[in-house]
Amino acid sequence: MSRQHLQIIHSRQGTAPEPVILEVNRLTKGYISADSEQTIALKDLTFNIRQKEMVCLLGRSGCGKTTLLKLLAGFLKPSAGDILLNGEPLSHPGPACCMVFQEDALFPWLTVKENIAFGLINNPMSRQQKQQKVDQFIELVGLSGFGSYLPREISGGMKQRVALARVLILQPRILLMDEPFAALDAQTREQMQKLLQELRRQFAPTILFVTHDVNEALLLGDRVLLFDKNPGRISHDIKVALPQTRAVEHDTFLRLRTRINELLKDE
Amino acid sequence: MNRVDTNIWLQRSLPWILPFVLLLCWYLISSRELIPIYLLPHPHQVLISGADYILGDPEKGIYTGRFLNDFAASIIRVLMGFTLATAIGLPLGLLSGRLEKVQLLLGSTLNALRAVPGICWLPLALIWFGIGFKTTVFLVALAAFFPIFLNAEAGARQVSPTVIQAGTMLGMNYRRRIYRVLIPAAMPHIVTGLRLGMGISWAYLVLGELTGVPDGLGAVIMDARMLGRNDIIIVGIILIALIGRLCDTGLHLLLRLCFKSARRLT
Repeated sequence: MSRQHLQIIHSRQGTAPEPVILEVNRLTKGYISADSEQTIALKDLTFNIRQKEMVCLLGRSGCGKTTLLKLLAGFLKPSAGDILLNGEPLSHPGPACCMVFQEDALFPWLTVKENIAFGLINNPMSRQQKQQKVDQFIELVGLSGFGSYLPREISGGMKQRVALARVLILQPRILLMDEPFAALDAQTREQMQKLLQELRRQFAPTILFVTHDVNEALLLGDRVLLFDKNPGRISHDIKVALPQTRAVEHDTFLRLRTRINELLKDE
Repeated sequence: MNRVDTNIWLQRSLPWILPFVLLLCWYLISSRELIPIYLLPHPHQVLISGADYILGDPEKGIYTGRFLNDFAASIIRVLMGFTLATAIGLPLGLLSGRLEKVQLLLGSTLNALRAVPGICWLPLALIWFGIGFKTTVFLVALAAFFPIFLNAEAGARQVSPTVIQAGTMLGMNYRRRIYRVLIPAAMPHIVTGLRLGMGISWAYLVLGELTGVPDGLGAVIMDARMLGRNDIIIVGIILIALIGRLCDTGLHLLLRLCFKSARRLT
């Protein structure tokens, strides 16, 4: 495990690119509204995500970001175009593409522990092994001692920690995050961003992270995709050339932020 | 005694004040014979008749020691009707709450049927099923069906799509999603529906038994009216109220015992 870590960190700094894990080709999604008029939510979307990469999707609300995530999770079917996961078309929703929702997607009748163990039901591990794994993930997301609490008894930040743990435990091939920290207060959000960076160091998951916060995108992402409205499409694909540990005061950071803000204003 | 203690004492005693006052009024009215005894029996007489009805030797009088027999007859009818209503109403309600087509198919018909007062079915039920067991079970099932169905429907409908999607994403197939996501998430509504259904079951039990069946708590009340034994009528009413209440508590406890979601969400 630890040798693997070193390789992961090394390869990110090095030049050898990771293989492409998610391919989106000319993806289009249209809706028929109640007055039978067609609205195009997404038009001819094309982009790739490489393994272990964290891509932030940045755009104003109502530009189709959530629609894109729902398509990638398999909850919606595309009107046209393909989504290829490891070269194979995405079929039905399942643990391969897991989503962390914005809020309130935990099962309120299950404890923290049971919520995290929920997805393991199809796993052939013994009860004891599962128990151990769940305990390990509870500790990883910093919830030791809260295993037997119900969702309504813990704070919003802690709920999102549970939401993260219950999908990470399944080792999804790609992790979809739909503005997961948007509903949290500034301090908690910062803590959660730190946690996410820590988890990336440990597991190196592939992540597509939707946000409308430029700072958040630049703090977390390896790449930032700018999303354009009407119809939803990607206007810019920006590589974030910043070191692993980032500071908002960093010169390059500030320059990138100014540029992205200008680009967003133009749209 | 400090203030908090007084508050607790007050909270505990408040619910008992009204029954106690009513009982006292009844006692005073009867003792001074303000209302003739054939309209309102003396509470003391009700107590004696009640004890006799429950504990007495069956050989010694019309109503003595009949309780166990009547209770068994009634509870079987209630449970049969209630089970039937649950077996049909619960799945249909969940389906109708989740699938628009089922809702369209059933919704208006069931709402029209619901508008018909349950008593209207009595004559028809008597023709179809005769006097007694089947008619009573039919009426109970029919009456209990609607609250169970409607609440299951409402419960299934209000389950957030996110929770269902989360279940799918975590690897639940269609059947598991029903048992492990949909039903637990709808549980608070389901419990409400079942409890309402159980309550109304007792009401319609009495209706079904008023039609001349030989045994059952409702039958005893009607029988006692013919013989002018209003003390027995009151004994019957009190017993039905008590047993109805016990059934409700028992049902709630049973659901909480069997389902995590009922325990944690209600």
